[in-house]
Amino acid sequence: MLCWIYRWFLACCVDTRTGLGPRLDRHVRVCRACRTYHQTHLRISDLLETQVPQVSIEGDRSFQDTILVSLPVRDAAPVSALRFRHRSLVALAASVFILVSVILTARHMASLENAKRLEQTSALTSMAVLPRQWAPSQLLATYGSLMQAPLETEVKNLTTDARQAARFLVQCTPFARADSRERD
Amino acid sequence: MQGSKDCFEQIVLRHSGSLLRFVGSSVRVAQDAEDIVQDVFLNVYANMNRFDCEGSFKAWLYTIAYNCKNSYLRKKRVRCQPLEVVQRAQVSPEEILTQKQEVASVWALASTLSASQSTAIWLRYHEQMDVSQIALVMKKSRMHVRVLLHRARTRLAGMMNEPV
Ligand SMILES: [Zn+2]
Repeated sequence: MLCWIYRWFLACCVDTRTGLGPRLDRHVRVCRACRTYHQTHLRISDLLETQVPQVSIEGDRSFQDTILVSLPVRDAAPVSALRFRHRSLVALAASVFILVSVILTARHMASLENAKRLEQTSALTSMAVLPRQWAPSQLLATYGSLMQAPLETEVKNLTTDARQAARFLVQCTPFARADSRERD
Repeated sequence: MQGSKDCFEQIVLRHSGSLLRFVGSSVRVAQDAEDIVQDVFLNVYANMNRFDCEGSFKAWLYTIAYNCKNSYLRKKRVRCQPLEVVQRAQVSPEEILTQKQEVASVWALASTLSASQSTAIWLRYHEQMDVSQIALVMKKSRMHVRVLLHRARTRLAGMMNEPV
């Protein structure tokens, strides 16, 4: 019933050329089919080993020469060395590029910081500067003119006030509403 | 530089014969087999720096040969399939057994097995590789290689009218 399992192990023994273990040996002695199977495989294996087509180690010299002549001129070792040199050059260039870009970025950041700081200081100083009309010389001139013609300035102010009051009264009068009602 | 060339020459001298036989077991045209072997050595020469020194050189060499042979057979199958069928019919095992009056060589019968079975048999008995090396060359599991060897032997036994 389990003959196919035994046969699998028997085939493994034939492949590896190892002896049968006690269990396999016991089964082979008892089971005729498995014994035949094992013997046949051993015989075929023996035939394959003994009838191996002989190949002379020298081989066909002209064919070997053809192979050796057809080899590329450049040798295998220098190719790999060249490849390695190329790789190291690429790595070196990449690291230099990274270093330079890091330095440039750091400098750019520093200059940006400086510009920001300068902007802040100039804003503060501009706030500290007084408007032009508040300049002491300007204030003195205004004060001088007021003292010379006080009445004229007062009249001018009064006229402006009266004009604004009249405009306000006109806006408050109900004439406009009365007109609209008549039209309705 | 000269050292590596000399070393390579030794490799060619040592393995060209058996590689030619290995390739020739499936590629019937002698000129094509020689071209494939030449291709194998060119590949070996170009990729020498990729060889893992801890592995088996023979297994690596035969892996390249196996791939070259398979790619040739694939191209050939695409190009001239009907011819292939005719050629296969010409070398049936029965013919080998009946036409020759003597007992047919087991290797002549092995050449009529399927490509993977005959390759496994060749590597096992001709190149004396173990199952794990064959698995490496053929890119198959060890279990698959065992099955191939087992089936090949069973078929050979059948062809030789041996009781199985
Ligand atoms: Zn049994």
